[in-house]
Amino acid sequence: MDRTIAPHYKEIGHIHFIEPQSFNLANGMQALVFKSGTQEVVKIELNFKAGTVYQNKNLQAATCNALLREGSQNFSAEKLAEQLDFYGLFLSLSAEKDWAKISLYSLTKHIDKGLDILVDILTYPSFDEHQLQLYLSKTRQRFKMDMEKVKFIANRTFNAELFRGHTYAKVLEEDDFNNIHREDLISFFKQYYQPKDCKVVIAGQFNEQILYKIKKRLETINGSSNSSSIPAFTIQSNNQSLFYTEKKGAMQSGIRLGKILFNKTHEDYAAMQVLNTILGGYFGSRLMKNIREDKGYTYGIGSAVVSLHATGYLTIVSEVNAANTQQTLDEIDKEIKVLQTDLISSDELEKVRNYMLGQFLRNMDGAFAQSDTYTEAWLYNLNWEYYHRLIQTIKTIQAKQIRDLSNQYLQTDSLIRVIAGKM
Amino acid sequence: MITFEKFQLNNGLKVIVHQDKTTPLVAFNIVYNVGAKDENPEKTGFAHLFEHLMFGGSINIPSYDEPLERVGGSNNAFTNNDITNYYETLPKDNLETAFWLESDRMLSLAFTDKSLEVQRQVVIEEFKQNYLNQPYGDMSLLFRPLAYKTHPYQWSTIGKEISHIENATMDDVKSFFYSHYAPNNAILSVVGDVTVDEVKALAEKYFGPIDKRTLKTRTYAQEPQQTEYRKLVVHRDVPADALQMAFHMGGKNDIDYHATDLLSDVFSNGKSSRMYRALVQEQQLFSELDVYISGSHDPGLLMVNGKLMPNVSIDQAEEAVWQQFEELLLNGLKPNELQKVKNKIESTLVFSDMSILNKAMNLGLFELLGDANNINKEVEMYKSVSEKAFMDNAKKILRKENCSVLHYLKNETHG
Repeated sequence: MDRTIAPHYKEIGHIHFIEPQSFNLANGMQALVFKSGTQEVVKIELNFKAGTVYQNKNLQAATCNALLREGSQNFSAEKLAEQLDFYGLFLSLSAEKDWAKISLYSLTKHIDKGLDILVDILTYPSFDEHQLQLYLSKTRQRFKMDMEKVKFIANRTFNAELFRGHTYAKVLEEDDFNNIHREDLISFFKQYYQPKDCKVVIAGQFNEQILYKIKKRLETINGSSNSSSIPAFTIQSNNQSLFYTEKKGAMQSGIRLGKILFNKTHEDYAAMQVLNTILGGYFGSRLMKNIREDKGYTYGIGSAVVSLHATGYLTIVSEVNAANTQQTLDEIDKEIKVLQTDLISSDELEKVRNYMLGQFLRNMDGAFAQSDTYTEAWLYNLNWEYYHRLIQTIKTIQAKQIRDLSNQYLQTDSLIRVIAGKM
Repeated sequence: MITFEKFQLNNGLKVIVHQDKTTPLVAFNIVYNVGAKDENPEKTGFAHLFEHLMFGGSINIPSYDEPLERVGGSNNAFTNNDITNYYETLPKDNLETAFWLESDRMLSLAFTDKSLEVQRQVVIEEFKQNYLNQPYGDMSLLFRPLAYKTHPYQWSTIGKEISHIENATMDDVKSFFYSHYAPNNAILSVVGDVTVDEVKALAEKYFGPIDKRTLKTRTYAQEPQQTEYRKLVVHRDVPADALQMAFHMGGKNDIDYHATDLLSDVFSNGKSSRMYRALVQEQQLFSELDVYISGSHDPGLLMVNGKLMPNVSIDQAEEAVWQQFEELLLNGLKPNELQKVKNKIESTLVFSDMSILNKAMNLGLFELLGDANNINKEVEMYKSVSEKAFMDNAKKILRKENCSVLHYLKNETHG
């Protein structure tokens, strides 16, 4: 056997897509069901248009979301915690920019107990004053700790500068913790936790009876007010492109570069995913190869193209040896210039195609994974068709298109550069 | 129930195969029985640095990642004090690529100076990113030598200090490889839509030709029983005081392991747990508080780790933790309390088994600890802990002279 020769490999051919069952509930919730798997488990995920973009003061969306698990009419905070733990249920809550999520994970045999809690906290949340103060004092402490991290400081400045002029740009200040009150949560909940704006995903292994029960219980959640919308995004001109926050004694600098692009609904989004993968989207990317594997300036560097409801953006993220901060910025520019001038070799492009298809296969493994993948498109009113197009782009994109995209979207003078640490 | 088959090659490599027909992917996991505990005390951080070098090219293949990415695969690795574990997931049709790559780096590495030079730098940046340039990052570095006076668990996987990594030489690298990386010191597990015959043929083809190696025998001493309360106080530039406490417990194969895991859960797994309710919610002494076990193979630690709220003194916080222990030892468990933590573990394990990679890793780990089939007995091991055994064990562990404490205090000048 000649060990220098790689074994023959097959390209990824057929990918199995679970076609979800889709229906609307009487209260206007839109639901999708993904049934598959070997384990008797259920996930119920509710997506509300209740992210930070809708808040009129900082902390409102996240605090409203987090307080949902701190007590309701029939479940005190203590009882709720006791029931979740006793039945091995996991309740996960999050509020991001556009969407607020509530996910329940349950063994199928305990789904009744899970539904009792889920429905109660969305029907009669208490927003208890004492629980609110507790939550705020803990979160304030965590915020103070985060402010010691160069990564966090860089993220914060990046967010403020990238979205300047839009509600996405708001960043947290310590004083915000003094200005959030119970009424803010009640009014936010009333206005934004609306069933008819809610997208529900049910996934796992269960029978029709259980599904019927889930539907019936979710239908009891009421709502009233009108749909909410997000202000349109317009890019503000920004004279400054370098934002530096010094942190005394820092051994590393947190770096973030980026620019506004567009979201998933844009025709170039799929192609930008390929370009991003080449630049910084996987271990074998140009940035990793150069800045980690050749220079050793960092433990890791990566880039991403991120989609939001009103826009989307490119970001490059790293923490680097403080003494090499400027060199890292120079090398990032150099890698972008190479993408703009040289055509990618067919060998590298082939590798990226296969890596991305393999990654997609991993994101489609099992009911939970399929439902997560589908939801990412569904939140933009897209369906599997979006992924069929993405796969098509991955399989057929040409070197010249990649170079053109680099010239069109990655001009280095259009990037903002944020440094926290030392340079 | 995870059904599997097990066989061994003539060179000592153990192979475990579990067929899961529901997935188009295959998980490929190889665990080497070498970790930071096998390091020379003057050359710590080596097992982990070595893990990085395993990606710097092998004797016949210049790059590890590149050919794997080319067939749609993804991989990573981790090192802890006991083991070094490498894993890949890839489309089932391309399983052979994993055998090819993984066997070549077991055969021999390329040992290039460039790879050593760069990975030293990368690991130093990892050291800074996770341990030095991060508030509270050095707590584990300070804490281990307090709890362990003899056993090599006294240093972290990342190493005692950056200079140990800076001083690593190519000779060190080579000798570490040949004394620990060997078919007779590894377990391979493969999970996916594969048959035993298929895996057997590939294992014979790729790993079969690698010779058995002479392994370095483990010579370190076990930790003697602690007989006095230990305390270390340090000041750092952080926004809040932090408390860490540790109690010696058994290792992963010891009789008290599951009872101690349940003990840590009673105190802090979930928002209904004792300490979360009493010390975070009611008395508001901590902004975050966690009780957990180290999970190590040799006798390990049950740890308490918390960040204090402003205006709470460290002594007050520590005293409150002791009161929680005394309350349990004095009044025993509440009705259903033991059942609750058992249920939660059962649920966690069911969700964990949804992942082929978790299954592959756990099969390898259980085999290394003695028998892969213990993966199927784990829930039962937890369920069978009686209330009496639980309390007897709690009394044995939660003693002052079995405890080491770190008071990690903020500098007065910090804003």
